[in-house]
Amino acid sequence: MISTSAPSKPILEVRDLRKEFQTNQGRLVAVAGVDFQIGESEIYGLVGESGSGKSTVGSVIVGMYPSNGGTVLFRGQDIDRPAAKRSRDLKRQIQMVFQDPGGSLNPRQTIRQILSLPLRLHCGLTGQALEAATADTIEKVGLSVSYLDKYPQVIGGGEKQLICIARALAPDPSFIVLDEPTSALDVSIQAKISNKLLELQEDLGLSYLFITHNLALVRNLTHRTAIMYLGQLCETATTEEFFAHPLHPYTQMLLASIPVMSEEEEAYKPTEVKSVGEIPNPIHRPSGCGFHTRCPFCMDRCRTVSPPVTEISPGHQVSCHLYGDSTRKEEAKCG
Amino acid sequence: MRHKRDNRSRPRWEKFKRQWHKFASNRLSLLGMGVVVLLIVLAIFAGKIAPYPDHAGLYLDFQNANQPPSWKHFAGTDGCGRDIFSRMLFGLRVSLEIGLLVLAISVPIGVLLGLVAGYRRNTWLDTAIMRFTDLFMAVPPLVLALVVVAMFTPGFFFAAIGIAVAWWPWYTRLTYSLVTSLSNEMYVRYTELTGAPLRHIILKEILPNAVSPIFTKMSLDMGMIIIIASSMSFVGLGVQPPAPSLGSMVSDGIKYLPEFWWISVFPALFIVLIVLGFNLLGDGLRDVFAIEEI
Amino acid sequence: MRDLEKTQDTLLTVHDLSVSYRVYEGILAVLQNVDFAVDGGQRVGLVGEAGCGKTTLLKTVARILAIPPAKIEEGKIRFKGRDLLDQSKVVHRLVRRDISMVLQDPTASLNPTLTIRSFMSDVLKATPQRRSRKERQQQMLKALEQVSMPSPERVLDSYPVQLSGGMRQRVCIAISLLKDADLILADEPTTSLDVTIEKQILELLNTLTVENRKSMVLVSHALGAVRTMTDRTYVMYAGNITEEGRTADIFRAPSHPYTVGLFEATPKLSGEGVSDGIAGELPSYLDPPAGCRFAPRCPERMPICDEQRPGAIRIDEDHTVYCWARANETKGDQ
Repeated sequence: MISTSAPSKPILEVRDLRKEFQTNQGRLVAVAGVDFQIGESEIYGLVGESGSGKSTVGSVIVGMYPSNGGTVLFRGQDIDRPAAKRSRDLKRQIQMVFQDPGGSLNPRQTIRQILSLPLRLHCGLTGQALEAATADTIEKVGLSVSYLDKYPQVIGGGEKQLICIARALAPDPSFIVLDEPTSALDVSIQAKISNKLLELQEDLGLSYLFITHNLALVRNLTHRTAIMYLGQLCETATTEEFFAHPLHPYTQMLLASIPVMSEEEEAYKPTEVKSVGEIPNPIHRPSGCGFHTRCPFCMDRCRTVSPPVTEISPGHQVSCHLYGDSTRKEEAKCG
Repeated sequence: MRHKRDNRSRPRWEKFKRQWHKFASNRLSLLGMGVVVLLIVLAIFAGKIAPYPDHAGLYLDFQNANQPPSWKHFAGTDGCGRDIFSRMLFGLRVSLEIGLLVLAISVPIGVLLGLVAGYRRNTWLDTAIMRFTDLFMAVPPLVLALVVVAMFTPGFFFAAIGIAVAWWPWYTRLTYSLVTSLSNEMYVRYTELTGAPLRHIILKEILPNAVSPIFTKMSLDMGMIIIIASSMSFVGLGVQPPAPSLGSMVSDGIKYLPEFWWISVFPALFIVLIVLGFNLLGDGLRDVFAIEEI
Repeated sequence: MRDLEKTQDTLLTVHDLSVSYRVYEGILAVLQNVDFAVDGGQRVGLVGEAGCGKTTLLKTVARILAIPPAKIEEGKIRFKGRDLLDQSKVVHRLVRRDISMVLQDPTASLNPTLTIRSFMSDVLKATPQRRSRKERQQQMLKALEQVSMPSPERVLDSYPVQLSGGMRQRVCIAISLLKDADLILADEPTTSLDVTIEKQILELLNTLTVENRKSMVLVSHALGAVRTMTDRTYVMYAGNITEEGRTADIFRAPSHPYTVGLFEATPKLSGEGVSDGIAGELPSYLDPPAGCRFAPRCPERMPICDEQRPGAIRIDEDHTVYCWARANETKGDQ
């Protein structure tokens, strides 16, 4: 069970992050002003469906492209620039694991070659030391050294993902961005990988940004949770609080839609908000609150004004007009 | 130590065995490979196999001229009394040598340019290289080769240079499209994000995955190159007499058609055989490499 | 295990089906003596992880299995009283008319160069009834309305690329309705969709099958979806049925160690933490275990499990498990 200790000094701070893309249909605002912090040795879950912008946030953090506004601070240092312009040490500290394990491994290289790259690059190891470190790395994720001389094609999906994790761990990073690391895998393998991730996090004191659409996974894996919709953060809280008292209508809609395994589990789902509508095209963002087109509590203000961020209880923030002023705070009991 | 080395080459060997099996399951591919291997052997040992090796040089024997095929001369003799079969073998050697030389020149240049342009997509470098490539592609290859040869002296070497000049753009195009699609692969993105040097990304990550289509194209190209070289010798701008060249043998024999048909027909059929062999081999390679990624 | 001679109600009966594939390395013995049945108006779930053979089973029933490299080693399939494996024209038409599939990737199911209207009218034209253009138009609109498609007129004139994933899947379901098929085979129909859309599509499928008295087979690795959407469930592992029965019973009291492991591995909203998953991995179909295929990974493994394939053990009125460890448990022992 994840303990919910308050985060210490933040390892990552994101303030008012914005990112746009130019497409042939127009300007696509993927991230429209996002604020959050991740503490040292904390697992932070970022949840959202397609079009929410969660993957874009992860991409900016790892340096795939720079943002179009806002700041990204890593241990106080401004890192808002593409990876090519980042220091070697920074690239070592921030690592990533992607969704599709098959596409993440070069089919022409053996596992040994794949794992030695970060070790050579960041730790400057060669010869015997390199071999020892490579063996060490693969054993850290629970795979035997016999895997080292295989090609990725002969290995199963779960193990491929473990190798991607090993590759991310090899240079001894402090922060790993995981973008849907288990979504392409079956449930039983998902459990194994999640377990391994937890174990490694505890042993090595890593921080994770865990990006996913799977709320049940987040419930069991993260310290804090945040949910995004159309490029904006709807709600953030510690994971326990998030699931015990979901406030934002979108959070409630999402939770209510999850298919669960038993009647007891059904009791954990909010029942007031039914799933309606679809996410609008991000190129034509609705005015005001992005969710107003599907929100059962939509008021006039929602259509025109973007909701402010309100802190309902320590660490629990919502971005919704229902909680916009202090008089509404008392009515903020849901779920 | 020894044990470890075996362990390391094991997966490569397994992969090779699997590919071979796929390749060998297609009879035509095996045929192509067999023909090519045979041709290579014939070319290397032409001196030993040819019954009349000196006929490949300056030789005149009007007594024996225009003899039909017989046990003494498998393909008959030509207007100068030279054994056509022997000349064909040496002509084969010349054709293969030209093909290899052309590829040796054009492939590295073409691929290198394609790698650079493809990886630095949407920069001025990309535009400069690709438009330069387009320029060369605008001229038909045979014409371009002939022009180059005409600027210098006709002969084996400049014929090869001429064809190479016309040939490299196709490799640039191919490599360019391969590199651009490979650059989007996650494993390439990862190495970029983690800070691997450019040299590593291009040579270790991208190139190994681009090699198969390039290799396939090389095999298919051999046939085309030999045809072009033969065409050039046919018009007298390729390999110069008395050195034997399949193309010039065909052209020399035309004036003797149809009575002394063997003088043109055998070399022409031989060209067909060579091209067919390389094409079948190339097709086989393409099939093997295509399905490989499962 | 069900009898081949069934009551009028049985729509589909698969009996003792074994299917294998020929590949470079040898023969993959995938499906092994599978028994499977669907009644009229019944919703049946087929649960299993990747590679367990559930898609092979569906494809065999829908008769779109590529033979070769696949081969039906043995077994019978009866659909509406006829032998489904019969190659005659009559059966072929029966299959095309009365069985429809909704697949995982709606994008791949729709021809990108045809408007929805062309696609749907092609389907209508293939049915035996003659209809005028106006009648076809009406039917298409009706089908789209039934799947709660916003602005159906506009959708008819659109190309698939202009629609969202959820809308495309709705179109696929609408096409099943057009065919008025009695059996809908849904292979992971919502896996590629967002959670909120998934809920809507599943509810839609539910309503339609219940309202129109159609039968549905829902294949999924998402257990929660199967629980709410089906009357009966089959659990598959490595080409075998390991457990079958009333959905409510299976979810309330899963019996087979694999099912138990699967349930435990699914993360829950109650926040119990992450389970260890199931140790080991899928057996190779090239050289499958002689006895129970799950034995190498089973926490309750016994010597007999490696030697002999488990027979059917009836735990309850409609709950059967194929496991030696349950051999002593019958109704009343629980």
